Amino acid sequence: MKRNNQHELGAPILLLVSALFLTLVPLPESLRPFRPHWISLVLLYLAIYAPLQTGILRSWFFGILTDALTGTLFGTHALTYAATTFIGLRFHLQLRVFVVLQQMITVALITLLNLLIIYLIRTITTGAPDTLGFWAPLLTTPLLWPVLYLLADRLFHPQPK
Amino acid sequence: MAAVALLSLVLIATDHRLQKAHQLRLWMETLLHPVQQLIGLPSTLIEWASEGLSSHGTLQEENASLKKKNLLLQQKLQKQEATEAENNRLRELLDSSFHYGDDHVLIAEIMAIDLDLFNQEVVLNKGSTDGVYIGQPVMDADGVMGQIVRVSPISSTALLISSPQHSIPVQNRRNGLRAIASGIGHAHKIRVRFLPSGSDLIPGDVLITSGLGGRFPFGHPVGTVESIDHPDDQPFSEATLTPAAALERSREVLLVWPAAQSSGPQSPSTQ
Repeated sequence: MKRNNQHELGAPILLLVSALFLTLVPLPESLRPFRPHWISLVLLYLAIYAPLQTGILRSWFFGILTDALTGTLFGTHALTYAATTFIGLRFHLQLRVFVVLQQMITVALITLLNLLIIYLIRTITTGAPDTLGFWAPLLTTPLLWPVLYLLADRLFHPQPK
Repeated sequence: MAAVALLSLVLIATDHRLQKAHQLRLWMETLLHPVQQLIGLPSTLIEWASEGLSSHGTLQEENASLKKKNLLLQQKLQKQEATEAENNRLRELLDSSFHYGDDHVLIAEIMAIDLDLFNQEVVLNKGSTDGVYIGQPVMDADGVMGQIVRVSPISSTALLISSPQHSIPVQNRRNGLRAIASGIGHAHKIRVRFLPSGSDLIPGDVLITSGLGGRFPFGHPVGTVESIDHPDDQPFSEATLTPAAALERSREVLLVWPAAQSSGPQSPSTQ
């Protein structure tokens, strides 16, 4: 790995913008509840494998951007993204040596935490979402962790020819 | 982290208190409009390509069926105009101030971008420069879709009638029974709560806007009664409706300036 690569923001920004695109792109109505939490997934990856290129405050501002684009209350996504990055940074040394299955369980737990935060905010403000579909990202988000891991690994460490 | 969490909570509280209609959100949504358009670009391109590639035969077929439909609609319209005129004449005889006039409409397009699933909101490509205002009714070809809740100069956000935060005054087309229909966060169901038991409402009845709130014009279909439920321990019964509008399938919608209000904010430049 090249040393001077560590503060470059190209790869993280590319990942985050793709995740934002996937969060907003229209899906058929029946698939919409299953949309994974793409941005949390990317933020967690960055916190574990590129801790110098991410940060709680950066994640928070990205969350505000997401709130503006998805029409949620300002601070909802910001809070969950900041929490995701915080947990990822706090435990990044342990998470780095986990095998993929353990990492997927971690992703599931963090997604659960994020959903609980959103659930609480919704219950207090507009009323609790009363469908099971609300919890569907819990299934899809961990499943995509290996995919993201493989893709992002290529992006951060291009194979020497 | 603690500071950031606290800041988030303060923001959530303020945003909720201000009903999401304040300057900061307005600016951000205006600034982010290009992003929204960029995200809608692939589906726009696909649509454009499929239109360009559709064969001569398909187009001819479509044209023929549209012509047929247009003829039928025109014939219906003639009848309706006559009924409207007669209705107004009778109302004049009765000395009623209510006038069934023409509404102004403008066609807007729903932008190809998914907002948060549980908010039941859509983004339209018309904004305050086209005269769109907060509270404006939004319809599609079959019925009421919702109302505008946020307006930026070039786009606007509509809350659908299926949202738990939305309620609309309705009446039964058959007998004029009045009620309030509210969303439950489900695109195929809306609910009428607190019906006195024994209300004359049966499955198949069409509920239309009553025009009572002053926001929606009178007489547009809201939904069809699917079932009526009377829980034993409750003094009221509940009806479940299927929305008349295609809430999740429409692409083009109508922004309506109700006739009584067209002298209000800005008269639109359409017929």
